Amino acid sequence: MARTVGPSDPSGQRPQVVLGAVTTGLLNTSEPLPLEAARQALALLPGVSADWHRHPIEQVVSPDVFFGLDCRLAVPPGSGSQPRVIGTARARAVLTAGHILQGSARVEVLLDANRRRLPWAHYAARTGVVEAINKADPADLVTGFLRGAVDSTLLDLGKTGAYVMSLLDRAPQIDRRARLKTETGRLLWAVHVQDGVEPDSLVELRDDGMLRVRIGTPAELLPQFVEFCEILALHHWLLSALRNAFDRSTRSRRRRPEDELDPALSYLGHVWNPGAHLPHEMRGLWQRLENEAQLTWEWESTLTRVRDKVSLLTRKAIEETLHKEVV
Amino acid sequence: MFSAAPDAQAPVFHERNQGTIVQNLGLSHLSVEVGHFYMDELENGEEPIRTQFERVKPWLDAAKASAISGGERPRVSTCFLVDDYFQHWPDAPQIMEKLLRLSREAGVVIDYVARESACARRLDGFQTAELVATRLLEEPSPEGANGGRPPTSMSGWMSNGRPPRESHVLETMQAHGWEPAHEYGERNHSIYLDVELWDSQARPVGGDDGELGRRYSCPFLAAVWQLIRLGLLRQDGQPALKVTDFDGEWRKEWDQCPDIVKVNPNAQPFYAYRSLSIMPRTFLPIEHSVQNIINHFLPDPAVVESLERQAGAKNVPLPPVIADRLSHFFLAGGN
Repeated sequence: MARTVGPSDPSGQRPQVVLGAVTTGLLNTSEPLPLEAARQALALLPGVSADWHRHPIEQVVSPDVFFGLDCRLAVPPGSGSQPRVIGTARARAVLTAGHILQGSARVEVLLDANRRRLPWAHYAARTGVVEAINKADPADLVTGFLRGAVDSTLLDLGKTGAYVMSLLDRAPQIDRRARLKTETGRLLWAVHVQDGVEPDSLVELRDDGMLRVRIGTPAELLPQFVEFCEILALHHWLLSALRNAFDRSTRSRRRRPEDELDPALSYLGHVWNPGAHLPHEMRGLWQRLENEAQLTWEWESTLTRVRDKVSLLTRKAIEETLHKEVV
Repeated sequence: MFSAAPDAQAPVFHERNQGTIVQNLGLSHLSVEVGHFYMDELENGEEPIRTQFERVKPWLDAAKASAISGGERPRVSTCFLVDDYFQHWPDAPQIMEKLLRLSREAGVVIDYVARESACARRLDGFQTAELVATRLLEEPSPEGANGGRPPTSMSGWMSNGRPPRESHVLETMQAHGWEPAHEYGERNHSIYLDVELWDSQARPVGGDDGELGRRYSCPFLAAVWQLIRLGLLRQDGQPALKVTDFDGEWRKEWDQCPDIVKVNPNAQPFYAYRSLSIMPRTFLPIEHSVQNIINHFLPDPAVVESLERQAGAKNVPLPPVIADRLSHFFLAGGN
């Protein structure tokens, strides 16, 4: 939102690669958090307030928190050794409609900076930046990161985002009684920073259910691109959560269908609005995505199925009541 | 390919509610801390106090002459931190009178007086120390942090590496294993340092520090003090400790006195791009620890940006590493 990403290195060097992950889930509350409570809960650091929007959908964005890193970056097999990076990652929590929580983490990668690990003060002065101490090809880092391999020696920004989300578990405003079962959504993104080029992007969904977005773009558009990824992650998660609730309502033997459909409708039914906070510069990209993936069509058709089913269940219930009265 | 060019129509609706807007501060080029005493030294005789100020004087003059100002007329302010956190008696008016008189007689003009307790908790109860405690980032071990580790230390210690290790001997015949300490950012050899930031004992004098029940260490409060002087600690974009003009009278109790008092009406701004602390050599280990704490402090990027913008506009060089903005002069010990 209002906070910036992008070239901030005091030495004037610019990152060649920016890597990020967005983790999305339902905030564990029975009802959405009112805006005021959300602003308190997302003020993750003392002395700094959260940013927020009221229209058209309430959204609160926490201040950035930082994580120390000293690990390897993945590269595709056969591309030589994995470069070691040292520095800090930045992460923030985003709460939409008082109920959908995201942990969004990212790191700017400086290549060819220093050959050894320097005293920590050097990295503390470059927040959100890691420096690679071995040679690496930016394109390899993008491809390697988006493979999403899990390994304790490799950068894992999904974990960083999940940790930021977990900070809200402790907030007194959270009653831990959400009535809807959802899965955590995961999105990985990688930017190859290229000045003077038209942004070029690819969104991919693989059978592990994780979205992957790669883009080549000038540094000026990085903040907007991060927001684009957060919006995409949010809407992909909404779609999955609604569809899963519908599927459970048709299959589950233990729970009544309305126990799945009621919370799904009241928690999620009103939230779909990808254009709500989409930066101006990203509208073209979103439109292209819509043309091909038709996310909004899929949402509307799923929502219609849910509402139809609720109507049918209601009619059935009325008929049964009437039948009992007649008998 | 998609076009990054904005739509033909410019947006008409804007709603950006930035939680915090960082305020630009009035800044000196240099803030000089003109000596330091423990409270019991202030309670006792006048001679040691006078002697210290006399020794400070030439170095203060040198500091004024050498302040880095980027071509502007140098603005230098002086300050003194009263050590009222660990012990104090209700004698603020006497001590302040003595302190200001002896410094004046030695030719050292004190512009601002601050209370060390305010670095832990402000007069209005705000936990100043928390602003630093929550922004301290533990240094990741080499190839040992891939993003999932909680960012801050809850242990109350801050080190620059790994302590020496003794392996547990399971069999008596096995050789005793030992690994030396290791400074992560070492240059050839290690200088390992582990600094206690707080313990859980109640504060010896006065109230406790709120729900946390922490008793902050001297280096930790000194680190807060340095960051305050450098304008890096803010609450909602405003300085975390504000300056109050002297109203002509010192309250009897230290904890009734304002956090920072401007005692010289003609003083240059309290906050500064850089700081210098002139103090007895015995404080060297404390200031070494201060540097270690500050090296692990991650400032609010918006605050950093605001200071950089102000410095840039006036061509004042401002080092990105915070510890590089600090300097010290240690006075020789003995008499």
